[in-house]
Amino acid sequence: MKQITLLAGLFLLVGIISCRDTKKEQQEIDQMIEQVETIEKQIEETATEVDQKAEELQEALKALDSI
Amino acid sequence: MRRFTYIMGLAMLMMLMSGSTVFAQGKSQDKKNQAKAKKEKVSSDIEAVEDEVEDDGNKVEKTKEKADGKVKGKSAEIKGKGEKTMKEKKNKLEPVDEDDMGEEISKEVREKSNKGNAYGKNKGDMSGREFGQYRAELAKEKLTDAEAKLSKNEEAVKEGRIRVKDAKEEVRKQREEGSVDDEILKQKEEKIKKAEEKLDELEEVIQRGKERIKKQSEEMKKVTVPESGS
Repeated sequence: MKQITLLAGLFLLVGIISCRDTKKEQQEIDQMIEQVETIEKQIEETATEVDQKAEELQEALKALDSI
Repeated sequence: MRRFTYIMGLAMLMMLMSGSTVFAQGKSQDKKNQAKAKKEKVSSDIEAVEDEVEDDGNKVEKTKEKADGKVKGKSAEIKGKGEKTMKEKKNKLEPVDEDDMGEEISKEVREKSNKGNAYGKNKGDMSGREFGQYRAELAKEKLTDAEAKLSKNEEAVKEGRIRVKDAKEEVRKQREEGSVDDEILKQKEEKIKKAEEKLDELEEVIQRGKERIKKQSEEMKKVTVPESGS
């Protein structure tokens, strides 16, 4: 009976460890994707800001044509 | 009888455990095989698409050139997979011509992948790691695009400065000649001042953007796709 419990415990442990590895890997990937998305968001913000200012400048420069 | 039940229970437990273990091992083997098959399939798909693209007009030629430039090594395969996945998704919604794929789909993939966290989304036939690599590639592309945009706007600032200088010169001449009314000259000077302000603002934003992009490039280098656990 003791041996059976020991064996069952061992199997359970192996099962849990193998599951944990996958979970850890998935967490790392999720974290990485989150980092990438944060960077992408910042890039987009920068690009939008530049676009907006460039548009404003073009309008201001257009006004100089009549001078 | 009690002993028999224990043995049966143990056998059941072993079957369950070994089943999942074998499944787990088999899964990784399967995944390897699937990945190989996918790579081959993607390569053949890319070739097939390229052949089709060659036959079509300028629009498709542009797409192909862009795709050729991008299709390099493993990252390109992953990207191809991503586009394929999105294409499949799109095809499910509405039948689309082969000609329409490429740039448009890539754009759609990017747009879709920019809305909220992606890790909860359907990644198609890509594994988590592949999807991670694909997203990292997209982010690198965005960085390159943003750098190009900043350079382009730097040129615009330079041109703008020249135009402002010319306008200033023109107003100065008009003032000296006395050919134009003072009120109009004031208005012109206001316009020049406004343009100068906008130039300064854009220059500042470009400088800030450059610093941010530099920082983000460094951050991107640190971002790595985790190695396989097994």
